[in-house]
Amino acid sequence: MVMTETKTSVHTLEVDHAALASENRRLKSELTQLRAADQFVREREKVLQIILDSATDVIVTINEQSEIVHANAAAYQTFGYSAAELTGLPVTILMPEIAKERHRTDISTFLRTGKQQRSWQGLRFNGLHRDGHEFPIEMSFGAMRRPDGTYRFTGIIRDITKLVEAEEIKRQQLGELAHRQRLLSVGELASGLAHELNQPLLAICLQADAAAERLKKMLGTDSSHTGPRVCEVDEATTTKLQTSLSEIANQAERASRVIRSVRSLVRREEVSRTSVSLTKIVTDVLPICEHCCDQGGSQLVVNVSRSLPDVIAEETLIGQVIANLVQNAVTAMKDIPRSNRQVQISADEIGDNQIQVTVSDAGEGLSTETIDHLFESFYTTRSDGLGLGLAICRSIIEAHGGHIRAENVPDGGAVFSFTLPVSGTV
Amino acid sequence: MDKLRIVYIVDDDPAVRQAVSIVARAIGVEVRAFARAEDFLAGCDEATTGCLVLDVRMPETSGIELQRTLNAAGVRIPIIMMSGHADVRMAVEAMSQGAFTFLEKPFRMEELSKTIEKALAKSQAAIESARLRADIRARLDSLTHKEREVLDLILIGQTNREMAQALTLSLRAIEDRRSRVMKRMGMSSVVDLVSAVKSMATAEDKVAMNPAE
Repeated sequence: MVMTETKTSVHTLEVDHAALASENRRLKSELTQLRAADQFVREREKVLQIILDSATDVIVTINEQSEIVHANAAAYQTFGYSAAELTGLPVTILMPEIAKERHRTDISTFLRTGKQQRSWQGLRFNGLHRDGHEFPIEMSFGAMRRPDGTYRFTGIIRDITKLVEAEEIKRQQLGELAHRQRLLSVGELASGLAHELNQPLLAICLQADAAAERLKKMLGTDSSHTGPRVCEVDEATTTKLQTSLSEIANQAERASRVIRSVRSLVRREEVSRTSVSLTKIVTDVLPICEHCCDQGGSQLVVNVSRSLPDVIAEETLIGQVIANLVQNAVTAMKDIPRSNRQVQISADEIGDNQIQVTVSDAGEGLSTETIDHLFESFYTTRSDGLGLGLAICRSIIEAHGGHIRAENVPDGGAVFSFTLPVSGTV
Repeated sequence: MDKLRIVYIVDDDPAVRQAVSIVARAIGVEVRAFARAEDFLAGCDEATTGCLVLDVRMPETSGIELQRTLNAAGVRIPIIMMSGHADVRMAVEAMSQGAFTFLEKPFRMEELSKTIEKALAKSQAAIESARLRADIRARLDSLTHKEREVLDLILIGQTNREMAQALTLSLRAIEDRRSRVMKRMGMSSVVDLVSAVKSMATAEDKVAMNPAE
């Protein structure tokens, strides 16, 4: 009863009747509210139950002793134990040794200090299935303080086997890409070196040969006693000089052969070209391009018609070129606002039995000087670059009978495009 | 004759230009060396003879591009294309565009000098046959209409009697014309006459029996 001392006094009896009626109404309304609240709680519980039952993630609640007080149905699918089986068991039964220890430390530290030692979101470690096999899981959990002051912990556990596998495949692909990139870099390096070194080596060969030839003539003149005697030359000395000179030329040739063998070492001897659709090439290289764009916070737009005629190409190499151009495009946009970062890959059939593939970015474009030297070996505008990427692209495209070029677009950004001959025209 | 023994060298690398020059001079050939394709082009025309030693890979105009320009301009100088191992594909392209040959760097003096001699000999032979063709053409053009009629019939193998019938002339008149044709063409036998006119016609890519203008 809520009545107060003043309200019980006799002279206010009539007023008390009215107060009683009002109190009655108030109580009735409170009861209705309580019923509604009760209904609400029941409904919440039902919803919670539905969530727990239908979740594909495992949801486990434990007490301070790490005993499972509740587990949902998904536990069976993931760990091989039914929810009923798990109740009362230590949660560590679901963990391999290494994770058990960490779990105990986490809980005890929290209970002692009231603080989380590390983030409880998105933890990744291995789970232990009933049949003994370990599998990767991702787990998040939270603590709830109960009225009696003790804690309950609820964890949400997800089997990420498939995710990890996909990540592994992606990592492998990126690894292969990096490997190919290195191999191609060495090849390009060897090509560049071969050209640069063959020039002086040719000069050495010819100069040494010409000197030997002159000596021979001098000796011939000397022995026939017709020409002027420039200096004393005896046959033995001349022969020795000639031997030296010919050895100089021979060794220059040998140096050239060494360069050549390095080149053929890193070059694939057999180029396996097939008739292939550009859609397939782009599709195959897309995961790598997406990864690049994700890393650089860029959007990727792909615009490749399915009705393009096939091209004759070694598809992994062309894929490599596309990946390289996308990578460059992403790098070119690192200084512009995220919302503007967009890489676009498109392919069209242009005249003359050519297919043109373009990769465009929305960056700041290229300077005239850069455009002139872009595809040369060892030319780079980046402090971390070797200057081989685009040289490799050019080598690959030209080896396919195509052309590659770069230009700026009027409304900002650069466009790299390359052509490939349509299958059946080469 | 000596005027034809000229080697043009186009290579951006001064060491290579110098070395090739030394070899060419050593075999008694006049040398003109250029660092850029444009410099060579500036001084050459259809009458340029000798041979051209050309680097396939140069920073501005490549050897292949220069070759294309020369082809388009009708400059028929034999080209010795120098290529590195890395440029085999370009060397193949050069050959398909009619290069005389290509040498893979580095090569030796003997190889270069033999190749230059062969290219000069080819250039020489081309000039020789061009002169012969020009001579025959001039002689052909000097024939009168009537003489040309007889020549055309000789070329298709008609006898004097057949010609007399075809042209409604006396046998005597035909014989007269025939001997005048032989004299003007500078030929002593019909066989020589036919083969000279036919080879010239083939070279000029024309039909031998073109009626006289």
